[in-house]
Amino acid sequence: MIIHDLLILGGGLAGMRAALEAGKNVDVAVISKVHPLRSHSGAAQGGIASVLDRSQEIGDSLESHIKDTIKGSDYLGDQDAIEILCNEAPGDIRILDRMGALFSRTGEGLIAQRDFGGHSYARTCYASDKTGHILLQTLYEQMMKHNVKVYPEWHVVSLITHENTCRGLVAYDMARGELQVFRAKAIVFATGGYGRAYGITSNAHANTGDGLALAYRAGVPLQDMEFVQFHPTGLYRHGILITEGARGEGGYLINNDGERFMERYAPNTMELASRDIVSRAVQTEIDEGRGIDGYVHLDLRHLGKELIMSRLSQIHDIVLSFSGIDCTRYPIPIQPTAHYSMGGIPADAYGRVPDIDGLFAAGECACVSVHGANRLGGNSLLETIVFGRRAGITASEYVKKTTLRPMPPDTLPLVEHEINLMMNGKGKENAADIRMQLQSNMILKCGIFRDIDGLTHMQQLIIALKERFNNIGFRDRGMTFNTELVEALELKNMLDFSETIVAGAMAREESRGAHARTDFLMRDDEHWMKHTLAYRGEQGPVLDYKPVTMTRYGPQRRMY
Amino acid sequence: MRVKFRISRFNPDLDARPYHQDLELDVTNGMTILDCLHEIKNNQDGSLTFRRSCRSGICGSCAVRVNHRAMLACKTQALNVLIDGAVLVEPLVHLRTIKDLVVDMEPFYQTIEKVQPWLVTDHTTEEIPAITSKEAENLNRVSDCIFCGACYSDCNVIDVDRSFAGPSAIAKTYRFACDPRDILGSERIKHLVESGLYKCPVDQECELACPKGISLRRDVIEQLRCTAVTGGFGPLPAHKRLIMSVLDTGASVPVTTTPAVDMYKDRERDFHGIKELYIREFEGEPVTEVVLFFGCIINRRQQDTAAAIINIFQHNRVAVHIPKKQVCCGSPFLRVGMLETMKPFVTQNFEIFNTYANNGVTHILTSCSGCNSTFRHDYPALALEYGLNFDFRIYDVGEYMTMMDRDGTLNLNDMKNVAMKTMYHYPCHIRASGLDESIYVDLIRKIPGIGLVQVPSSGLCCGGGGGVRAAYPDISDKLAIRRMEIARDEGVDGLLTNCPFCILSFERGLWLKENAGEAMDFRIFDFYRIFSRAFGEDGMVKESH
Ligand SMILES: Cc1cc2nc3c(=O)[nH]c(=O)nc-3n(C[C@H](O)[C@H](O)[C@H](O)COP(=O)(O)OP(=O)(O)OC[C@H]3O[C@@H](n4cnc5c(N)ncnc54)[C@H](O)[C@@H]3O)c2cc1C
Ligand code: SF4
Ligand code: SF4
Ligand code: FES
Repeated sequence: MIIHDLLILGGGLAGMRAALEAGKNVDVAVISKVHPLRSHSGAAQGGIASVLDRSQEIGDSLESHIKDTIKGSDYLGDQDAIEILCNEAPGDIRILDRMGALFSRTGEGLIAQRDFGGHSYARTCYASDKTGHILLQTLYEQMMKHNVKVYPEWHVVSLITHENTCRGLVAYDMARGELQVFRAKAIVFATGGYGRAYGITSNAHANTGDGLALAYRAGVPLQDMEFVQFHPTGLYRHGILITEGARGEGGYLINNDGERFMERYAPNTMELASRDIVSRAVQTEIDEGRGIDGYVHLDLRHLGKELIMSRLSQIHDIVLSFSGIDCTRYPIPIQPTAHYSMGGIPADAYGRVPDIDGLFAAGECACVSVHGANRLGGNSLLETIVFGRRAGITASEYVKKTTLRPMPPDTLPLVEHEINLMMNGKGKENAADIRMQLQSNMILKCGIFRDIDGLTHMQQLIIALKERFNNIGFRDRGMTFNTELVEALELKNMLDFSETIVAGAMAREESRGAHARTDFLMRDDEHWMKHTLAYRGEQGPVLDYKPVTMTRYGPQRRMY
Repeated sequence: MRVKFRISRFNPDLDARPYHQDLELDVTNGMTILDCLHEIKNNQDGSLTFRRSCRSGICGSCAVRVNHRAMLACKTQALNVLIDGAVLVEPLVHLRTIKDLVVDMEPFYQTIEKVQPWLVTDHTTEEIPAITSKEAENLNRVSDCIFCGACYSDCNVIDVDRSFAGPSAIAKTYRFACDPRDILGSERIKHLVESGLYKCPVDQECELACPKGISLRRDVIEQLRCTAVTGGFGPLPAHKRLIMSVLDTGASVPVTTTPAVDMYKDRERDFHGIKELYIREFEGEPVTEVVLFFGCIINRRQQDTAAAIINIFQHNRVAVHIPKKQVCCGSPFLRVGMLETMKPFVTQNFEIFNTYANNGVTHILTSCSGCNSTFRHDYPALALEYGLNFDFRIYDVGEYMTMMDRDGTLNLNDMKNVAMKTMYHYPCHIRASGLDESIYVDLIRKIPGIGLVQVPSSGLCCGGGGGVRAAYPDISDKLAIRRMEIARDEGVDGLLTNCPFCILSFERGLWLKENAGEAMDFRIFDFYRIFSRAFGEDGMVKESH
């Protein structure tokens, strides 16, 4: 049994930011299934949005950032939270700078800012093309400096609550091969996104939405899960992100007929139209048979070898290393890739999860909701920092005025029993195959385009896959670093929360942001300007709704 | 394509020690090693254990050794690394194996934690001083490190001395020590010198391993050594003695017998104001004329090699100019971080080379791999800095022989049999010159009678470079002996190489072993002397006293 005042579940940007803040006042520890430096925050390239002091020179303002974010969210974002996000951004960027984050600079030595889709002004701060990596490094440096306790490669298996209060966690210490109980007065969830529910994703293997499933099973509803952002240019089969930069520099999207098809979808902005528009265009081409074996081409060849090697060398390297293709000589096969999860554990602007006392959430796993139906680029790194910090503060204040509550007896034996049952069963089902079935069908039936038939099919498929999951076979029955076990636990989580994505999408009879129903093409503010809450019920998710918080901005048609 | 996978397996719950498992898998174009491991785990053996997360080369989880070299599984195309249709996958070394391909990274992380890897600013002021765009970019380059540990696994010095900071900890130090906002600055350098900044022979294994292309030698280690010198923490006392003697004698090693440039007195002559030896012992017109720059060690300690090279060229009808006033290339200054002190040396050599070039002999050949890499890499920048002309071309002698072979002017017809079983030791300086191992291997293969054993893992260092021999002789010696033992275990008679540093290192290693009563039945073969023998030494130029 391990005891800390406060546990942070997740060592990505949100988790570390919360830990650093809380660590100033209380005894805190970070538990993370991958070493914090391996968290997927490190993969973010583009940047972190914030209006800075000198932004007025180019006409930018906090007001403009707020408006852009609300519009981007397709009016599903909670405006009070969005105001906090944008207003507190400059202060947080300054703190990161002081910690030593190596932001790219202007000639005068000021933090440089670049243009980003959906933002009216160049307000995205960046560190060349590795912003997430640099921020992750910086926060981890601070963790070392302040001696914050980390339990790396401890896979959290369950959240223990009692009478709607948070009691602790059970985690699997992979290297030592043991299950351990953690007790704490409060827990901050920061487990990141759930892109791995999809077969093609820009997310890491570790992004299996564990935190969502843990909370869901403990009685917390999941909010707005049907909103999953796709990025138009994922590397074919791998899903690895090919950044907008490639199109920004003048790359063409070409279908099987050799046509620059964006002409038909967005004749003015062409390849540079907003993410959801380009994603839908690419998917339409593929679905209507104008793709090449399930992909289209991103062609850079006309830009010339010199430009590619100097301005897009990162992309060249990615395509060559991961697909073996030289993009100066061949077009890049791309397909839309599941990229960002707008939905998650409902949390208020202080990180508090309303349903369970002592439970907090921040970062991509949380739904605050600042992204509503569609996230703007650069706003999610910002969310991890702003709301990670805020959750850290609130949680440490909470901890200071709370006593440690008892852990229900038999917690450990119960979890052990469940795991033993799973590992030592006689079943012959192949977990990898079940996972593959889930992932490939989520793309097909609950991906960019949805309709009632596909969703119904998906709903039934998940039930069937869950049935099969109960009979999976294990090859590795030892406890030391058992990744077969970890993958099975992750799959179980994905099966659980995926049903909330499907249920939310089935119910939401409109198209809004990233949720596109081919049988309900229009946004329907009258009926659907509300957040979905999916509770776990006996027969699958039970849906409820809550209103969107509006402060000063009424809904308008979203046009770019 | 059907590929054989040989994978290192170890389950501490079941196995006493690691073993290799052989598996087969259909591999298609575009599949990475990580894809293959997943494929095996998903469909053949769910117990196969490895780390991975991002599968896009950014999280640093998946470093393993593929055919003995450390690399990211997710960034390695499987079909590119096959050897005879097979591939060997093993965990990183220098770290304890937990299970299969998973190692305990903790000791590696600790090397980094030890360097206080965080910015320390003066908190009495509210705003920290800003940093310029250029400074930020400079630090940015080393900040690419994803702590994958590949370099730690492939590092030669770590292999023999775990107290060495190791490449990525050195890079992390650079990140902060060179940040103008950091107030620890020189403290960091001092600490780094203590934890081994001068222990690295700059053999660049780490660079080869690094998936992020961090140029540790030039961008980090040598820069930091310069900073150490400026701050008064370097070079080490042993280096200072060495430097003093270079300044006194113009050469990096003491002379034992007559230097090579002082042999063949009867061939001395004046060439446009330069005193030189001109050697042309064959009948008829020369195929070409070249300038020979021996380098300190060959000139002053390995005169037999000098003679062998002259013989090789005479045999192949190449006229040789040997400037008598050639001085040390200056690399000792570079290696320890004393850029300022080397100018007179560079200037003198440039004057000589330019005189030749202006009078029609533009090919400058070096027989020392160290000088070669200095000339090729450092002289262009220095020439610019000092405002010197650079009108000549630099070649390594072995490289030049290969070029002649391609032109059909190297006479390989009636070579003598040289019976031996050997392994080529690829010097790091040759690699630093951008010359591929195959240039030398292919040439050696043309000598009748030679059996050349494939190098099991070429990441092996003689310990002779980077000023390590002077400051940390025990590290040098351990590296040299380890290198020879690995070769011996492959069943060869000895190592064949073309770097005078390597040869000195190995010979000293042999002597040490013999002294300790553990004499090795092992020999060191000089590339040029072997070729000279193969060409028949009857034409050897006689020294006249
Ligand atoms: C390729 C890519 C590019 C992106 N680019 C940008 C960009 O340019 N700008 C932008 O604003 N956003 C970008 N995003 C989005 C942004 O990076 C993420 O939303 C954000 O980094 C998420 O941070 P996080 O801390 O919430 O989660 P993560 O960084 O994913 O961290 C999750 C943590 O939770 C831990 N964890 C999870 N489950 C468990 C468990 N069961 N037990 C223990 N620990 C667990 C993990 O170990 C990990 O440490 C990008 C995303 C991707 C995928
Ligand atoms: S150059 Fe060689 S010895 Fe030096 S740090 Fe790199 S691998 Fe280690
Ligand atoms: S320096 Fe390169 S090889 Fe070494 S840990 Fe960093 S990224 Fe890996
Ligand atoms: S899996 Fe992340 S670097 Fe290979």
